[in-house]
Amino acid sequence: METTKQRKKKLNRKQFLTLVIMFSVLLLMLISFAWYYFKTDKEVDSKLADVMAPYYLYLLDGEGDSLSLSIGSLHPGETKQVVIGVSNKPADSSLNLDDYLVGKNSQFDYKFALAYTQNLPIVYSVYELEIVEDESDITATDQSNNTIYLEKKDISKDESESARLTEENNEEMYQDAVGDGGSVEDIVNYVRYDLYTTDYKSVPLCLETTVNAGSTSYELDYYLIEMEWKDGIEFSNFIKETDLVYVIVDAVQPEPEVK
Amino acid sequence: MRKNFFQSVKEIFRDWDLKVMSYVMLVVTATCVITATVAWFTCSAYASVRNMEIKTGDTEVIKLAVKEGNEDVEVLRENGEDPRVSISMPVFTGVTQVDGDIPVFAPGTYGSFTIYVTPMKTNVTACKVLPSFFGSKEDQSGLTYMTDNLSDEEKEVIEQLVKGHILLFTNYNETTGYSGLLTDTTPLTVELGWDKETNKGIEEAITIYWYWPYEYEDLPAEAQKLDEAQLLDPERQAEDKYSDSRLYDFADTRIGTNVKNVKIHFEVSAVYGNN
Repeated sequence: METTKQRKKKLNRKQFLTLVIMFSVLLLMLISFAWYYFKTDKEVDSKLADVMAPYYLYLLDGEGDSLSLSIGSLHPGETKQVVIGVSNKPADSSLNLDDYLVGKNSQFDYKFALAYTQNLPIVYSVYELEIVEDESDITATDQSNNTIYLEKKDISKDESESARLTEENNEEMYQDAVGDGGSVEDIVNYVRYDLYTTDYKSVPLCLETTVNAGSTSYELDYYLIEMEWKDGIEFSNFIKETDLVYVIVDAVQPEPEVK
Repeated sequence: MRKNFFQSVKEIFRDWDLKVMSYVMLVVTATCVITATVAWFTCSAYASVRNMEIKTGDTEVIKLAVKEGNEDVEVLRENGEDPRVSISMPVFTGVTQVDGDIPVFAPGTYGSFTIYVTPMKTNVTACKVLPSFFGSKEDQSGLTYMTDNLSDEEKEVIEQLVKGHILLFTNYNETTGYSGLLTDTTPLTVELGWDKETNKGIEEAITIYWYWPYEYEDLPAEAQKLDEAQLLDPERQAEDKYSDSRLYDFADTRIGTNVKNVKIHFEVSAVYGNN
């Protein structure tokens, strides 16, 4: 009985040790295998690409501040003027002084449009304003105030586009306006679109942002809208008339195409 | 029978402290040996160890190159070079260069990247490729920003939008368009071949296509299923007055305003199998 027990003991110990060793080896294998398998073998980066700057277009007044288009009263024989600024930098008053204004190089074309109803016999003229560079024309006080002198320059409408946009006020739209009971003849006049796409040098209207050594420079294009009454009108006919006037700027944003 | 069983159990637990101790010591020793070996191999300061690896070529499992037939990227890095995958894209109108000759990503642009993977062991039958704008490690964001003033939440919003706007695909076909949208969690598996005659791995060119859809309507089918946080600008969406198309455009503006550069990070790992 003693010998059998001893043999059994030996066997149990042997078995036990073998079991332990096998288990440890298995554990070792699993660890090394797991590490080997999930390790990323190789990695590499691509070259850098820039992200294009979005088109930032703002309609401002002549000072570079927010625009409020108001004219007040227009007397006969008087010409009222409104200065409009078109820029790629927002009005100073609206700035959050975000760092993004240290911007990216950017260049894009834009269109400038004056749209107005014609209930009142008013003539609207749009001019481009060019900064007078020659300092000899500027008075000393104005120079010290940083006053800018602007010169009127003639710009021409995009005749075909303006005509097309104006004509889009067509039969269907007229019918929509008068509704079922009315007649198209009841309509007295329609909205005019005057579209400008080139400056006085016949170059497309364009805004450019340039970044140079950490500082960004923007552009501000000036426009002048003049209003005056037509000649020989009978004012009493227009006492209750009102007109709507819109100044619209659009960035020209073509979809990228493969050259 | 029961008595025997009980006795055997007793036998096992006799001198159990000695047995446990020997077992524990065995495991501890094994762990030390493994850790030391791992540390030895991954220690980057030890140049001579690296050189040994290259000469024998025994531990190289997979080769990654940025040009056809070129050397492995790690070999080039040891020589002080900085291998990068080139961006292949056509020339576009309406896209203004931001900075010299660096390629420009903009809504409406597209292109591709190609990497070259070669198996170095016969049992490497495939590889997993994971391209992303964000590396696996914390400090490896592929985006650089225009300003340092962005909060972590703002950066998170922008990163989500980049994932949804600059899309990565495995396939492009003239007729069927883009397919095989890749996300951070879906690596691409490519089979690798072995040339039995020369006893060398066959270099495989793997191309990943990228595309930044111009408008919401241009999103390829697979991308339309992406989460809204990746497609639409969340700040504007909260105002609840814009269409999805406008919100996609606002997201484009947010990316263009805040992101200076992007780069893609590629992770390549070997997949083992039977040849």
